[in-house]
Amino acid sequence: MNGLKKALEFRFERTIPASPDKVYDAWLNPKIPGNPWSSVDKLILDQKADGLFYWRKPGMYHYGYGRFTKTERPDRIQHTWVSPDTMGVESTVTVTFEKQGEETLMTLVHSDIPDTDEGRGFEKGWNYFLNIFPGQFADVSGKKNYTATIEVARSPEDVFRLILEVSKWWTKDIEGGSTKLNDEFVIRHGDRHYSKQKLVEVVPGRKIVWLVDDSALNWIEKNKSEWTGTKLVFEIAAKGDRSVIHFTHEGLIPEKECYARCEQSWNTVIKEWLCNFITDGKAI
Amino acid sequence: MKEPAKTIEVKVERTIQAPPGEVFDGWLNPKVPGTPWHEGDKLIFNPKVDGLFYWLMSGTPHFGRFKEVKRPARIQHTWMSPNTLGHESTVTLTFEKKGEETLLTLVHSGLPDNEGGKGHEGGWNYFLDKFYKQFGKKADKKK
Repeated sequence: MNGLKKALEFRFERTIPASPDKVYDAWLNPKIPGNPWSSVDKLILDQKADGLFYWRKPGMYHYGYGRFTKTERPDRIQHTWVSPDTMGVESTVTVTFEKQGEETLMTLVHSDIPDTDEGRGFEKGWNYFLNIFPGQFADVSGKKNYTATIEVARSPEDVFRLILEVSKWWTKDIEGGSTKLNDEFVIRHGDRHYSKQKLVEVVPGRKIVWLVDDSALNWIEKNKSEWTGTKLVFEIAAKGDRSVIHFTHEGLIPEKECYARCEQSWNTVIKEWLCNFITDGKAI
Repeated sequence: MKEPAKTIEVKVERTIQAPPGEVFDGWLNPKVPGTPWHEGDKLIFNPKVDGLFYWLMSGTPHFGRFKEVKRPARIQHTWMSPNTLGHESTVTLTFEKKGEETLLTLVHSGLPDNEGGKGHEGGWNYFLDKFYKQFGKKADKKK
């Protein structure tokens, strides 16, 4: 095994709207979506130098171990990463956090990866996490998310039930389930828009939250995955015999390239299509 | 997703001149020669349920997770290294009282059916021979 080629290295950069210490702490916190310790079935994690970790996800070969070698808050985290995808070889993950004005340049380098199909798969894997992670800071940065509020002559229970009928008010081009916790559905508008939503919070009559865990907005120039990691939040409240629906697209902030067009689209989808459907039962 | 590969199992036994509790404690004590934990370049070792270990031996990293630690009868932990191709294999040790002695049985299952997997048989025999002698020496001294 010692003759195995250790050839691959992947490097990723993200600018995150928060200070280095906040980003550092979030990267090590399993409760924050977008870091490798989040959304696992089993986790043992000891985040100090010479501390070990173990994680497991559903699937036969979906597990890994590692050893922290540097935990220098707020500048640098380094640990090894061992899994079936490294064929048991200790690869090295180094994450640095560099202050850039009020933001942080986060750089992740994964080196010493065996040059195999599985090893090459790390590029896609880290991009998946790193597209979700920056979205967790949109709120704390104090920037303004897109919001829309509508009032309808229906009960909160009716409103809740009707919002879940996504194909009646957003788009007919929908695949997957959209009614129960952990349901996932894909929305497409031709080649221009693709997004995959997961129901991460469902409180009957009160609240629905979708996490966008994958996206491709092919009509924008730079970061086509701007929606990934953002959340679509519907909050419902009774007002006499009517209901108020407060919609927030968390992470859709004016700094994003897609903001102006998305703002226009949401104004139509929420304030007209959703409002009409709930009020009159008139589907798109 | 890959298909499950064919695996092999290695079984090694020794009858040791000490009661099960003493043999069990000896096996989890890195100071005792003959345990894998005694040799090597680096050890991080937490032998309790859901405790992890890291053991670097001749440049080869090994990781594992304790699943059962039932003194004095049984220990089970996972075992992963380049020689398991990064797959989790399972090591189960049982300590069975035989008069004044203990039958120590080590079963290492889920190993890949290749040179690296088969090599574990020689490795465990090497360690258990040394471990056995620790108790032999003690018994000899008592005589």
